[in-house]
This record gives sequence, structure tokens and C-alpha cells, in this order.
Amino acid sequence: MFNDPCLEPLFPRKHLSELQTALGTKTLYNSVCACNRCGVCAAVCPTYQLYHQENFSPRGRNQILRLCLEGKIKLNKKNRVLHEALVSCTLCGRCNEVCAAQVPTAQHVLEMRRALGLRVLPRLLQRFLQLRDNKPRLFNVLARTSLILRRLWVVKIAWLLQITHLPGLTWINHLDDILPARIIPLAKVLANANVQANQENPQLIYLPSLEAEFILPDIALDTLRLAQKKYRTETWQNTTTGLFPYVYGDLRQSRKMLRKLLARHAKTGNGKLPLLTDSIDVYLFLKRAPQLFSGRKLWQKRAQNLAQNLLFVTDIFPVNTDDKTTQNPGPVQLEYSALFERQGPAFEKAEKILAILFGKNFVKCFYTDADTPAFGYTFVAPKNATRMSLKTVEKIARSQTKQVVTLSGLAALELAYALKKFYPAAQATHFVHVNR
Amino acid sequence: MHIPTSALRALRRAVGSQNVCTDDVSVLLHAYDCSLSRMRPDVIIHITKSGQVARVIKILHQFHIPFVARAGATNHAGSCSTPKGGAVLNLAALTNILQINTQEGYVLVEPGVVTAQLGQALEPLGFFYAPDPASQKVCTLGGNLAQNASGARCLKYGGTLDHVLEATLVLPNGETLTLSRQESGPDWVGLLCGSEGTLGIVTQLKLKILPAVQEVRTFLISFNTLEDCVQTVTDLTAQGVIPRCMEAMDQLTTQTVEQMAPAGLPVNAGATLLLELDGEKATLGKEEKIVQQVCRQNHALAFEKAGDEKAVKWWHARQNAYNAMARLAPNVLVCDGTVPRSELPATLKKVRQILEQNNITASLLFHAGDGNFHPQLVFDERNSIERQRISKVAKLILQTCLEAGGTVSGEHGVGVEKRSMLALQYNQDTLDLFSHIKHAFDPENLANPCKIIPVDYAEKTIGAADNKADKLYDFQQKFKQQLAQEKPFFVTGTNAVLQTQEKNFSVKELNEITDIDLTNYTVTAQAGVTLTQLARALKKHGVYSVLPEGNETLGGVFSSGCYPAFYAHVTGLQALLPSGSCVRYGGKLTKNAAGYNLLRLFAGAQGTLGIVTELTFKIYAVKAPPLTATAFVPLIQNELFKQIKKELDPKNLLQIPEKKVHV
Repeated sequence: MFNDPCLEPLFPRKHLSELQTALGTKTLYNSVCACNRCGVCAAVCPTYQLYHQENFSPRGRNQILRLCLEGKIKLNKKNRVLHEALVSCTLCGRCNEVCAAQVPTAQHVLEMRRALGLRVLPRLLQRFLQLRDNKPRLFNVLARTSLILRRLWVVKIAWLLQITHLPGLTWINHLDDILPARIIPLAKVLANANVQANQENPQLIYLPSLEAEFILPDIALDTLRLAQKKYRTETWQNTTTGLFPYVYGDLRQSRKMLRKLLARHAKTGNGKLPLLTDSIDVYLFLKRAPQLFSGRKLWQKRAQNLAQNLLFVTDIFPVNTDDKTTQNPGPVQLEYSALFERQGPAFEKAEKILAILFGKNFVKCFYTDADTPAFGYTFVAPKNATRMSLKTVEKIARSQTKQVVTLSGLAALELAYALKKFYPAAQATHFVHVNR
Repeated sequence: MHIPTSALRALRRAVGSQNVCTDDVSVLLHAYDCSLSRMRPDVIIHITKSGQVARVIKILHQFHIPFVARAGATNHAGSCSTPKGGAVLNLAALTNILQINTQEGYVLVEPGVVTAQLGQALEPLGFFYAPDPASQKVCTLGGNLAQNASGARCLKYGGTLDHVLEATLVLPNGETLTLSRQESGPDWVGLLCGSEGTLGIVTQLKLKILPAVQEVRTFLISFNTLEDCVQTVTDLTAQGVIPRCMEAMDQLTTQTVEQMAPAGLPVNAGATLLLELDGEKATLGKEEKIVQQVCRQNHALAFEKAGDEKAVKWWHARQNAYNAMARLAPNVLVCDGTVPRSELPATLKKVRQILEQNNITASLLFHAGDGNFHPQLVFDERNSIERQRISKVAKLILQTCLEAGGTVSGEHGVGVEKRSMLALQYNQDTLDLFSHIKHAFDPENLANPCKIIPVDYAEKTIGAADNKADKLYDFQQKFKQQLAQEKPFFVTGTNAVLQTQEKNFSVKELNEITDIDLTNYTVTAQAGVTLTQLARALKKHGVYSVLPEGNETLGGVFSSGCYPAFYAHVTGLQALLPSGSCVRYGGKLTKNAAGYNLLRLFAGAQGTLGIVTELTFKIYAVKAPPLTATAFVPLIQNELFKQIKKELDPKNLLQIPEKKVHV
């Protein structure tokens, strides 16, 4: 009935032509026009809770997109207000959860960021992470070299010399703060534990996340142990999913990465093998993968197939009522930090398992409770992230929680750092470590 | 409108340059609320401390810039839109709960505190704040005051109006006043409630809080017809049972909700009633039995009591009515109309007819206890034809309410979207009085202009035909003659003892009880009726008011300020102004958020702003301990009073009594 305006009609491949929403597939314009401006989303939006300004509310962000599509606001990279409104979004999807019309604001924000070509991560960090997609070998070498340099106190010396205080380099300090003191390579960890990464005639593919592969190998180890109890497992190391360019880079690059993954999955076991991930962010991204290929039937079918065969660690977690922990670990909470959504089967399953394991000690969260910002937000908007983390710590301290369970390694890293600083009585652990 | 550079400079000095925005994006993001209206302001001012409000308003006043206060912007009537452009003051950051006093039962809050957050803060202390608008998770207490918001619990606990004790108001000229209900004179706080920010901006509120209820019991009752459902409510009132919520849905709504998310609602019933009782365990048992009995009498199809989990599920289903509509089409227009409870079944049928005739999908929810209903109309605002059709249908629904003796707004306010309808609800004299009130507070029309009062209403209002055989008509003529003499006088009741007879104008001849309505549980009586006369008449019908027996007149009780607790029971009023004109406000309605609350202007005004000639107020089936009178305190002439007095009675004919003369 209406003309469907595009953000960049000359570059249609830079954007998703259709969004996969909770209420079916919609064009961008139809999706954003479903916002009835009731404002309920503001009550749960972490940035609105910090600023109390419409520019920082999901309703405001949706209206910005609509006004852009209708030509009432010009897309201008130099527009400070536009820039702040879009960059500040944590993409947590809490707004989507409470919205009567299930408007996917996080997806809308990503589309606008793509149109504006916003570079939201510090340039050096972005370039470095892009290497993992483009030149994985070089990335491996650089990553290992950086870790060796870190162990040689180079970062501390740079900090003392105030080199890392320079604009564009401050993220190095934060990265140094959140990373574990000693990082052991995954291969060594697996060898020490006598766990095989690849087994013959696999029944399951394990796709370790970036953090499980390079920073927190324990996550990969425990995930493999869990998986191998039930399935013969093959591990796909050095495999990217396209999540990083999807959030911080070019959608075309993301499609390219994803196509590689889909092709490999289609070849292995006729595309019927389940794919396991330890990161909720990767899980939620791959669940949405079909929307990247609207109009391309083959790839869309493969993406749908992958989404159907996707497993999260909660799906393979063996639990029954006898598994209830005998020790009293004190109150335990689930951290909902994730990209795009805060509800759904993965979260529900995690809640159920924790409720069985910890009984009354499992503290349920309120819908307005704060979460640690997900997937690199601390490097995008460090001031906002610190304030949000403080609110999260406040929530944890209020219930005197001793253990916080996260669904991604990155969230565990960020939260562990915040807890160490402000509430050392509690510890953050990844879900796979729960029953260790 | 053009904002002078010097004004912007002054504003930036007052609140910081980062908090004054004139860029396109910020301006367009403050051009809407939850209504259909979109109007572009010129400057956005983010207030970060309550002390900044007065400074900012002084600057805006100095440069004659109109302003609108805004926080959650969840309004359904366009109350925070800016038809004249100007400034938007964003108060959402004023979120401090300054004090919680559980001993004296009040909280001190800033206007940006979200209603549900106050509830969360009070819960661990064993207290609660009663008004519960449906948008309480995001709407703010300042906005609640501006719209006189209320929710499902309104029937038992009242709306925002009944819970505000004090308000710090910044007048449109930048002066700050603290208005308290403890002071003598008109109920200024009551007048502010529902004024939609047109009289000034509130920067601090003192609100009444209540101890948490011991137990809540939830019931789901289904009926064949809407009439049976409403009759049940009436019968419950007759038995003295006032549930804390009585939320109802018609059959189409129930079916739509069940399709979306099954919650076990009865899809074959003509009406479904979600009823909640609260209180002490002993009383609840008795009340539950009465509810069961009354439901049986009224042919209830099913009566189900819920455990905690089921109650949550049912309430969720009730909320899903909006969600279900929001998923059908991009936009949902939530209408709001109120009729006397007895008129509810007929009105709802007419509304359904209107919707069917215009081929509009809508759910129909209503607060069965107070006659307030909310059709939720589905449409796509991008389609101009559809939008026009929706606006037309919304007007037709409101006209149906007015024809049934109702009001165009029970809780959403008037804003810009309903103000033309006010010309059909009130006569010209009443709308003139609204204009006078606005002018007294805001002579330069800067605070939220173009709201509430209709444009060129003189041509649109339907003047009520004068009934010359009516006692009130004779009284009005006599009053006009008195005014024509241009000699100051006191308005008195039947028992006044005054030094000089010339200075006395008595209402004693207005001594009729015109209506006792046992469906809506209201009585309408003239101002000269004595309390004993009233009590006797009510007793004959087996009903009671909250007033004691005595020789005092009803007008005196209302105007003297000695019975402040009585104001909450009054629902309608007729009064003569010092100009000789006659104003009517309210009626048999439990809720009315259309226009300034005239009940509160005349309450406690001691006959200085006009003569109250007739009152409609609530009666009850069960006798409650009567109200006790407080000591008479002569009226305090604050700045507001002087301004209003100057507007309404420039010759100062209605004298301010120094002792109680209007008994």
C-alpha cells in the first residue's frame, strides 16, 4: 500500500532488505512504523535510565529511523545528536521484550549505523578484530604476540609513560584490566586435560567463540567435556561467524563470513549436524542468520537449516532434580547480558537449570534490573558502560548474591572486573562452569 | 516561532549548554507523544535539578516563549504537544524520591519519578501508592498529576487527585508557590490535578501512601450479557462491597485476547469481569460470600477464584488486549470516555455499532465500577483516509458518551485532540470560567497553550434551555438583581446570624433534593438543603451519605472548608458566578478528567468566587461513621486567590467572611 523507502537506495546490499521480527518478516519501514510511541520501552532501556532524554530512548531511536526514511531528517555522519543516539544503544533488545508490537529497535539501530557508516569501536581495535575475519593467521600471530608483550609488562609500562592515555588508545588499559592475568592457549589446556578437540564420525560440531578460543580456554574445555558426554564432537577452531562485521562492520563482509560457515556446515554431515556454541551472542546472531539472505533462496535455506540445528550450552547441559547442589553456594543470579534479546528458549532453559541446581538460592531478576552491556560496548561508550556496570553490581549486591552466571564469556569478563572492583564478595562465571 | 539568541544564551547559562537543544533531531523527537498529534517545538530544555525550573520559566516569561512540560510523554490526548512551538521542558531526569515518611504516611517526590518505581520503593516498607495507571511502568508522578491519572484501583482508592497532599508549583511568571491542602480556601492542589500543565509546572509533590493490604483475592466471573455484568457491580455497591478492581471485557475482546495468548478466559461469555477484593482476612471472607451470592443472582455463567499464579495470568491477559491490537496494525488509538455506570451497557452497545458500521477492528475494555471505558482502535497512521476515519469514529464514540450524560475523558485528559469536544460537553459559561481560571494563573498564555479550552467555543456550545419554572432559574434572577445593586454582600445559608440584613444573600430557598439514584448511588440536592433533611430523605431509601446530621446546609458544608474529606465524595456541581452566569460541572460520574476541576475551585472557597446552588455526591448502602467538622479558618488570600477573584469578581461583591456565615 505504501512506498517502502530505503535508507540508501543506491546501496541496497549494505542493508537488510527485510527484518525477521517476532511477528514475521517485515520491511524496514513497516517494522519501524509498528512503533505506536507508547514509550513503555523507555522504562527498561539502559541508556534512557542514564540520561532520561528522548534521544537515548528506544522510542526516540525508532522515530529517528522513521524520520530518516521519510526524509525529514538527513543522514549526516557529523550530526552529533544523531551519532550519540545511535552509538549509545547497547543493542540489548530489552525494548523488544516489553514492546506490545515487538518492534526490533536493536536491528533498526544497526541499519542506521550502517547507513551512516559509523565507526563505533576504537579504530585500532576494530582493525585488529577485523583481521580475524580477513587474515586469521596474522590475527593469531598478533594475538599471541600481544599476550607475550602483556606478560612482559609492556602495557603497564605504556600506562606509566602515559602512552595508553592518548586518544584512541585508552581501550588498551580496559582490555588489560578485564583480561585474566595469565592466558593459556586452548591447545595446551585441552592437552593437559586430555580432551580431544576432534573426534571421528562427529555427531556434533562445536564452534568456540572468540573468547573461548583465545582468552578463556576453560569455557571451550568445559563445553567440550559436556558435549562429549553425549556426542562425538568436532571443533571448528579459527572459524568466524560474521557476528563482528554484522555489529561493527559491513553487512556484506558479514554475509561473506556467514556464507563460508554455511557452506562448511552444509558439506559436513549433509548439513544435518547440530552446531553448538558457548556464546549467547553468537547463538542469537545465527538464529537470525536467514534474514541476511532474503531473496537468495539457497543461502536462506542453508541459514534456516543452521538456525534449526543450532544448540546453546544450555541445550546439552545434563540436569535432573538429583543434580541439586549439596553445598550452599549462597544466592545465585543469572546475568541476561546479550545482543538483540533478553528472553527466549535459551534464557528460559538457563533459568530452569539454575532453579533446579540451586533451588531457593536462585534469585530471579526483575525486568527493569540492569545488566552488563554486551559485546564490546565498554569500548564503544566506556562512560555509559561503567555506569551500567555499577547499576548491575548494585543489583547483585542488593540480593547479596555470591555467584553470577553469564551466558557469554565476554559478559563474564566484564562483570568479573566490575565485581572485583566494587563487590568482591560475588564472582562471575560462565554457565558451563556451573556444575564443575 | 523564533527563539531570540539572547533567550537561548540565558537558558544555556541557567541549565548548561548541553541541556539546551535546538537541533532538528532533538526538536523532532519532542514533537510527539502517544497520541496522533505531532507538533514541532523550537527548543528543548533538559532540566537536571528541580531548582532550575523556576529560573528557566522566568527566562521564558521574560521573552514571551510558550512552554510545555514533559517527562514520560505517554499521553493519549496530545497534552504535551506544542501547537504554538516554543520550549519543551524535559523533567524526566527529576527522579528523586526525597523522603518516605511511613509514620505520617506520605512521600516527597520530584515530578520525574516513575509511578511503578515509587511502588517498588514502598513495597519493602509495607506501604503502597494507590493510583495505578495502566502505563505506570513508564508514566511519571508529575504527569499523573497533570492528567489526574487513575487506574483499575480508582473505584476503591480514588485517583491522583485524592492522593496529593502538597505541590510546589512554579507559576508561568516564574514565581514559586507551595500549595497545601491544609490551608484554608479553594482546594488549589485539586484544581491543579488534571490541569495538564496549563497552570504552571510542579517541581515537588507530597503524596499520601497507604499501608499494604493484608490479602488480595482475585475472581474471574463471566456473564451472558453486559447488563448482567453492570448489574452485579451495582448490587455489590448496594451490599456495601467495594472491590479494589473491577475490570471487564466484552466478548469480541476476550476472543481476540484468547487467540493471541490463551489464558483460559471464557470466549463464549458476553462479558468477562476480573474482580479483586483486598483487605483483612476476616472481612474478605464475608465479602467473598456476598460477591458469590450477587453473581449467582445476576446469572453469572462461571465464577472462578484464582491462586497467585492464575491471577497473574489473568491480569496478563487483560494487558494483552492492548498487545493483541498492537500486533494487528501499526497503530492503536486508545479512546477514553466515561458514562454514569447505569448507562454503560447501552453505551457500549452503541460503541460496538459505531465500530462495526465503520468497519474498524477494536477491543473494548472497561472499568466496570466507574463507567470508564477504553475502546482500542486499530489503524495505520500512514494512511490518511484511515486516520481521518479513526478520528471521526473517536469523536462519534465521545458524542455517544456525552449523550449518555458522560464525559469525554475519565483519565486521559483533553489535550489538543479532545478540546473541540469540550464545546459539546460544557455550556459557554462553564468554558468561560475555564478561560478565566487559565487567565488568572497565566495571563500571557505561556504554559502549555492551546490545550483544554476549545477554539471559538462561543459559536459551538449548545446553550442549555432555561427552564423558567425552575426554582434555580428564579434564584438566578434574584442573584442577578442582587448583583445589579453593586453592593458587597455575604453568601449565607439558613442559620447565619449577621449584623446587617443588607449584606446577606441566603441560599435557604434552594431546599430540594432533586434526585436519589440507586443505580449509580448518587444524590443530587440543592445547596440550601440541611443535613438532617438530607439524612432523613436518604434513610427512606435505605442509603446513607458520609455527612453527619445537623442544621448546616449542604452548600455550607461544601464551601466552608470545615469538611475537606467530603470533597472526594462530590461528583457534580452547579454554581452561579459573580457575573450572574451559571456553570455546571460533572454529574453522576465517578471520574472526570475533562477541563479544570471546578468542584475543587468552589470547595472551601467560602462563597467568595460564586454560589454553589446544587451538588451531586456519592451515597452508600452501608452506614459509615460520619465526617467530623474541623474548625472554621478564614480564607487566606494568597496570590492565586487574588488573581482569580479579580477575574471572576472584579467589583469584589462577594465578600470574604471572617466567621462562619454560610452554615
